[in-house]
Amino acid sequence: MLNKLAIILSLFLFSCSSYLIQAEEIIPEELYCGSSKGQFLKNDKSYITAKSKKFKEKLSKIDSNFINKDYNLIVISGPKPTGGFLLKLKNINKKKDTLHINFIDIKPVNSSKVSMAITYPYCALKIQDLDKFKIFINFI
Amino acid sequence: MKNLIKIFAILSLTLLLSACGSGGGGGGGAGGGAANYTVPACTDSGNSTIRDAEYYGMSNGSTHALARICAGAAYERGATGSGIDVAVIDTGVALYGSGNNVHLDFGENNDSLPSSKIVTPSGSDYINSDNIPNDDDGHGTTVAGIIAADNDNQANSPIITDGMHGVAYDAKLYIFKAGDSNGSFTNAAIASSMQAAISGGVDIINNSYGGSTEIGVDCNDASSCESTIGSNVYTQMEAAGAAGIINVWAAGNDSQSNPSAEAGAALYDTDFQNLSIAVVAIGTDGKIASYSNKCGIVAAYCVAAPGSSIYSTWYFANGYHTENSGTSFAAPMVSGALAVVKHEFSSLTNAQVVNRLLTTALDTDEYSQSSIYGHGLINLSSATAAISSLKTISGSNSLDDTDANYFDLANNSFSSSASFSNALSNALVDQTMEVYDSFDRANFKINVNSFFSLGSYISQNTVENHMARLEPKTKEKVKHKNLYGNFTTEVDGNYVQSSMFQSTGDFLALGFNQSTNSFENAVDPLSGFFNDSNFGNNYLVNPYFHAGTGQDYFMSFNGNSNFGIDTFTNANGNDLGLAFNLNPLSSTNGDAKYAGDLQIVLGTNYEQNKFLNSSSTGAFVTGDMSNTNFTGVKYKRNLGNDFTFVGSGFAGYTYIDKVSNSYIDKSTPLLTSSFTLGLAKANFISKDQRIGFFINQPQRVEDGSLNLRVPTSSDRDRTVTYSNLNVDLEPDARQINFDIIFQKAVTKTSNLNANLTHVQNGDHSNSSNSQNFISLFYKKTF
Repeated sequence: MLNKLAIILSLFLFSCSSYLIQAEEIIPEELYCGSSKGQFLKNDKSYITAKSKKFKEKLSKIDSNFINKDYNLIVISGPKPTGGFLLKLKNINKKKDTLHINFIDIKPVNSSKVSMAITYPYCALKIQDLDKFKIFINFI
Repeated sequence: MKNLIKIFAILSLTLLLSACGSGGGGGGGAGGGAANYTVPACTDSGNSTIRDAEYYGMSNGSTHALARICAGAAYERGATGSGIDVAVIDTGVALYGSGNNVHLDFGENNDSLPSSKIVTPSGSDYINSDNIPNDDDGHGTTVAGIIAADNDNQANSPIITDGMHGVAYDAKLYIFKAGDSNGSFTNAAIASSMQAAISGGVDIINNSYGGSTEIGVDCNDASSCESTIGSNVYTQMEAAGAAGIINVWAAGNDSQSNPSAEAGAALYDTDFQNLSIAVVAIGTDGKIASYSNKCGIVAAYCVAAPGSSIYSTWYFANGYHTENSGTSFAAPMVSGALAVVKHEFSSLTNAQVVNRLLTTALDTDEYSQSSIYGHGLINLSSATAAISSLKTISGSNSLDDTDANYFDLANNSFSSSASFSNALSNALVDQTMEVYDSFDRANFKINVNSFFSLGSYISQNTVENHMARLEPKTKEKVKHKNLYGNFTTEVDGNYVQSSMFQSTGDFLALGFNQSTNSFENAVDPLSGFFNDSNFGNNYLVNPYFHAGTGQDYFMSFNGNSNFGIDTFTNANGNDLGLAFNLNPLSSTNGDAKYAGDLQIVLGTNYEQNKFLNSSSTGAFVTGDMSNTNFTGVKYKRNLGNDFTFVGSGFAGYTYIDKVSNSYIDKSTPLLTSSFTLGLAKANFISKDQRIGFFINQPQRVEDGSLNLRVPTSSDRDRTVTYSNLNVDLEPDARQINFDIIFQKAVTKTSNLNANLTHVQNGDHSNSSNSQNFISLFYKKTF
């Protein structure tokens, strides 16, 4: 009976250690978050990677200066009804071959005044070896 | 159990339907429009230069944006926002770090500011507390472009493939930065910006921002709205109202039934009620955009404009443009439209500009739903056109003066004599004046000559008129004689056409539509040469007695043909003429065969509300007693061998009776002249033939001018400025008529006539083509 318990406990600890190893938090090499009014993002999904043919075009439309950067991921939250919305990176967790990229959707405070434009908060990131991972984007 | 399931199912379905119904419009479709409403369209105009690629650039080539508000029609009238200053309180505009211009749609690259397009007042960046309100968000640049991106035909430029221009592309932009790189604004920055805009004397302030509040919900009176909005901002809203400055507000993007507190605050505060507009956005389908707040309880101060998929300037270098949506972009459409209307009508106060744009909005069908669209969709075609009847003003330089005289355009006229119509025509080329819309006294330009009909001597010289003269006359001439004298009456059916009584001894003559002058009657056999052409019959008569209206009365007193008095009245025109005739030579004395008749005429003529037979009405009216003093000489001599010479010449000075407040202002006396020379021969080749040659100059102004004093401009203080247009009335040429007339008596009751007429410089105009008439006709009296 004790042996059985010892085996189960060992397996549990092993699995926990395995989990802790897989949930490594990584830091993006480049990160910029902002809010775009341009509707060129309105038909896009929540993220675009550098693999996409439209990646460079989208990047340059968000900000022409981005074309000189090495971003390889654009994450988009929207549309939002007004200005004042922001996207903030919480963390990036690497689990084996997956990346869980977690963002915080920040709303304007109730008493604030904001531009009355449909906006698309975004973050542009450079993550090492991005194309080796499956990507999961979470908005909190 | 089954019943319980049924009830549950019904309740579930009801709840489901209810939930669906409360969802509001999604996507770009209608949020509240009833299914049966159609989307109406205004009627745009403008040629391909006006409605070019940049015109359609704001809507990516479709007929949205500028085409939907019919801006082309306003541009066609010349209304482009020139001279109008629009403040943009936003996130700034694309600038270099030096503060110079970046975007090619706001001038040249690296233009130093202020320029003719952009002004960045000192301290205008209230976010970073500096003088360079650079846009780090893009929103402000886009809003500024919708208002006034210039029309520089760069749509096809190699570096700009998606060019556009703003609604009021000639307006000037005053840039204030009150929003940060995230589109968030602070009350302090807004209040400072608005205060600076007011100090700068702008006409319109665009506010494409707001809180997530709802008028009538978050505040319901001026006091609570001040608290909701923020007292520092609210104070400046009131200050703008006091300064007469228009505030345009985006209604908000929360799909609410009412605008935000800022956009709707005018509902509760008369301090800026007539100078504040809330703007809801319509989508590309023409219906309220799903995101847009509706006009709701602010309908009276609310209007709709395109706000979805609007292409405008973006904040990167080299003229980049992008597509945006939101009431943020509907508001600048309205700000630009107000600038266009204000440019078109300098006479309107800002409150009247607002009222005009609201009143003329398209409000039928879909846009008849005032709870959604307020006054409807703005329509620049209607806003820049007359709303009510146009009128002239006289008697005041204030448009709001109740004592001013206003006349409908149709009740203003000036019908000029041909004696100076050529000079008038030349002087009035490209001369414009103002007339005013009865609705709000909006000023419209109109050509001065549109009120003038120019008299013509040659207009009667048509083939049709010549043919008409050849038609048999139905008039019947009756002559009889009694103890007192001779009566001659010409009747046409039951109507007396002309009549004349001459007393025994010719002492007294009374005539109706017929000259009683002894000379003219004496040469009547000679005038019989003429056919019935107008100039022929008028060659010898006094040109200052303007006969021919159909109710002319003549009376003459003659002293044995040595002295006579002619009087003339014209019942229609209330003319009164008096002429003294001296006859020092008369064929009744001496040898009649070679005697000459000389008559010297001195006279005066008074005309009521006209001069030289030129009548006028309304603002062009002249007085009751315009007066012409004239003199004339008539001479007839038998030269022997059946030759007869006839000559006459008249000259006169006309003094125009001025009426106070008339556009016919001061004038100098008008010197006029006319003459006729004629030579005729009877028994030409054979006894039954005669021939005559006549030269005639119709009445012509030789010297003199009049001053037209017409309204030419008006300003927002409602003050009219009149300008003087001095018109030299001497024509640029002299009309001479040459007539050769041949007559052959075929029988006692019939004759053959040939008439050759050459008219040189017709209507005293050197640009008039010569006219030649040849007529040949046979006349038989039954």
